[in-house]
Amino acid sequence: MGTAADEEFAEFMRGRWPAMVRLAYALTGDAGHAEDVAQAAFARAYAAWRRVRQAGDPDAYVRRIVINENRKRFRKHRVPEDLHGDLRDGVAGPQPGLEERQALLDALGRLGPRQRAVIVLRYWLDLSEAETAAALNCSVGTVKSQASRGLALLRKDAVADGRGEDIVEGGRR
Amino acid sequence: MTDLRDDLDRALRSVTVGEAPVQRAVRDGRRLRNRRRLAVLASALAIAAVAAASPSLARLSAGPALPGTSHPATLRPSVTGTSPADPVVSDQPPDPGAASGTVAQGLIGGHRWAVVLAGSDRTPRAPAYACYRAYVARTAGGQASGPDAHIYEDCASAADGLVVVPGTDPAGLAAVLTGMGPDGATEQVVLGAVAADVDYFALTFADGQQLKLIPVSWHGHRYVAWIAPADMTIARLTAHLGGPHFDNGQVTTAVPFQQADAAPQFGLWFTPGQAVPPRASGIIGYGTPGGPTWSASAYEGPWGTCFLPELGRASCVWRTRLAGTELLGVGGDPPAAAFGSAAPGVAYLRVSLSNGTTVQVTPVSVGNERLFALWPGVGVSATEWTAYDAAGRVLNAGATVAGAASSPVAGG
Repeated sequence: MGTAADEEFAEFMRGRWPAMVRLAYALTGDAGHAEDVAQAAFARAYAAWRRVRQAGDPDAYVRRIVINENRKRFRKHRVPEDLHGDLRDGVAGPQPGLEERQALLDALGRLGPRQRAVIVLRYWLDLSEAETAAALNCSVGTVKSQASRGLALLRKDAVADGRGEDIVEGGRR
Repeated sequence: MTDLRDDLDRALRSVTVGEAPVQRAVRDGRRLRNRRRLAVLASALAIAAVAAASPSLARLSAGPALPGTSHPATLRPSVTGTSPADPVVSDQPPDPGAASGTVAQGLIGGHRWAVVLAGSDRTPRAPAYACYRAYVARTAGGQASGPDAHIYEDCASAADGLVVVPGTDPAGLAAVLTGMGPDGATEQVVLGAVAADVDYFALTFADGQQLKLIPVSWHGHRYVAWIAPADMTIARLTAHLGGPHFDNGQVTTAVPFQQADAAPQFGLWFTPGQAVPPRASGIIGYGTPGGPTWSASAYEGPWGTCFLPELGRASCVWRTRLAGTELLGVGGDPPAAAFGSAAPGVAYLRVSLSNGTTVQVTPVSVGNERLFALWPGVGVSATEWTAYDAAGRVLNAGATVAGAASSPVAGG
């Protein structure tokens, strides 16, 4: 890869790094693992940069690797999950909603890995049920059931935390 | 009321992220690439050594045939241009004894696959949908449609381009990605209704492999299909025209828009000599307007123009040129960026939103087009726009009718 391509990759990685780490964080529930997963995904993107660029959407390529890496990780061994901590905001002054945000991350962290992945893919990335099933290598029926159970648990936690009585789905079929 | 997507977005964006370890990724990426090259070299040397001992193996590696079939029209995959990561893919019309509705069958690296139409409403003139099953054998040598297979079922509607061939296109192609590959790998499954004036299609992948797709008739309609690994980029799909079993020498070619983790989307078809939009891409909008960080990119090319939000699916406009200043996506619910094109001479636009506010945007040049994007906000959509020149004079204005702005846009 020439210098221009290296610079292009570096620019792409700097721009997309926060989003990919956050995706990995949502999936893994662990800040350290999230950065490892994202870093590995970008390394693989660099190794195939010419082809990744030809495909037209390097963002989607890296995102898919992050999802796959997380899936493999849970297949190999159960990983303790913790979505606590690391909640700092770069903006000075009072942060309305900070507790609510932490409470939601806590609730997300209490879901099982597959339930959490389904919730993140369906309701944060806005993937369809079929796309979510493909990304997680499971059936659409599994996506539906895991999403239903995951949402129910999030609703239960929201009520217990006094964050409101309902969580509304934002995904699409 | 709490919108989960919005809450998740806020919660996850509040997570502090360190600086991107670019150097480490580059170093690890180079190491990975070198390891792959060494592995390829080693396997090539091993094949050469075995081939020298057994010349028949060398012939086999140049173009494996589907066991039990010898359709003369099937093009041989070009192994010389094959990426070492891509398995050899083949595509054949159904065997004489294949199940009713079988559109195509073939191999992906030794694993059999098949696409079988399973039913439709069978309305003769304008069927509303067609259902199909896609099979990929879990084991090499296993039956595609047997108990050993991964199965994906879906129904595609006329709106997806299957069943009804849009306009003068040679085919309406519906494509999905599924996790039905031999090792859980993601595969592209593409099925399409074929126009009456098509003899066959030549499908060329970026790695040089080429398949000949011969339409198969089923209940009064003609279809083609293929299954291949999702990351095999399609270079082009060329329709050879004339009619069933008749090639008049005319062709028309499409280059799909293919995101790395999304199904290929076929839009524009070109005849030889026709001007094709240049390939170009760029970020056309980004920011943190008192809300979530967002960005939107645009990709122009032989497929037309596709708009891609930061994390989400593409919306494509299947036109060779966009028509002056217009809003092509209005945002709204679910939350999405609004985007559009600007005519030459437009320095900026003021876009009115459904919540009564106005946003000013500056178009960005991408290839032949000048494009813009803005983030209206959750549940808010763009309603009107006014275009200005550099001196602040009004050049043009327009309003969107609910749904009208998105009508030419195909969701990806």
